[in-house]
Amino acid sequence: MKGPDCEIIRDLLPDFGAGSIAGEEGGMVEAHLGSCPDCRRELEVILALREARPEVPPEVEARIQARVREEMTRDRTAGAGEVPGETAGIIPILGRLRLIPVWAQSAAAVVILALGVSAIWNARDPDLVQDPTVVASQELLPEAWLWDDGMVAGAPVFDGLSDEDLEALLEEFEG
Amino acid sequence: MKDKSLTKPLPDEDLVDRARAGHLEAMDELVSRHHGSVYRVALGILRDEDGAADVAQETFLKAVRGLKGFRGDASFKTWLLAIAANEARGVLRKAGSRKELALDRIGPVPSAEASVDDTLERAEDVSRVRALLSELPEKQRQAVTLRIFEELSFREIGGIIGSSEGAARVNYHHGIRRLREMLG
Repeated sequence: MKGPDCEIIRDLLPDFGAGSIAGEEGGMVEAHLGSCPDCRRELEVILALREARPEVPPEVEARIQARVREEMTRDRTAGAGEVPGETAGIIPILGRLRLIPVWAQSAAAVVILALGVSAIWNARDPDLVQDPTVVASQELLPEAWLWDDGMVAGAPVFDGLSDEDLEALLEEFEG
Repeated sequence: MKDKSLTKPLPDEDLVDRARAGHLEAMDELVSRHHGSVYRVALGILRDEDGAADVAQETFLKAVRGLKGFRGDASFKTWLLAIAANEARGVLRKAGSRKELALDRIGPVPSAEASVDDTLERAEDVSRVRALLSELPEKQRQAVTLRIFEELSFREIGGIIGSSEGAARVNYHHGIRRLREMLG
């Protein structure tokens, strides 16, 4: 029976030389080497190369570890509170907020709240949200005296009227 | 407190997950496992020990920064070695030419138990092999060293040297054949 050819064995020789193949495959390589001087010679070259593998200077590992730790610690400090695996969205922002002083966060919250209330107020029907004191200073049209629900506009409106205008208004109501 | 689960040999994938979550000891272990391969890949390209150490450090820093983007399509080791090879080539490009220190000038580490004669003989053999290795064309030399020093598959080697799996195999076999001829 014909055994595996040299091409297959030579692909496996580096692993065989490293002792990382065994069992049936290892037995196949050994059997082939027993009958093939050419592949045996190649294994010798591979083993000589393994001997020539450069060693790493001993200080390199510790130096890299120290530098990598420094980098990771810096990242962690910068992203305090960051949820692992999150790289985008509001979560990293919330983490970084912890670095801002409480007083600054409180001030920012008040400003945001004020802006929010203002935005909601302005989003309502502009006819209903005008400042009454402004309304009073404008030329008043008859329909502006009453709100949509039939209520008379507030006191500031009357504050801006002269005595004559107020009397005329009362007469109009009574009439 | 030290995480006792790290005393068991975890696969790289698990260590990468932990390192991604900021676990310093997991990253220490990954450095411990792979710094030698990273250093040798850089050394094979730069042929300069100090430069290789710098590239090895930069490689791990880049890996840490890019860890969240590492999807595991290749093994962590292959990914690292590809970073190292790119980094070393970048250093070479900046330098404009190869450094003078060749692989054959890097001294062997003597065994503590070897006799003086054995050590000298081994040192001579090692120097000769390294000298011959450094004469190979770059891709052949990389294919040979990655296959024999790092025990990578041809597919992984192709990914690192920027060629197909088949081309990596051809480069390896050509390199070995030339070394056989030169060693006599």
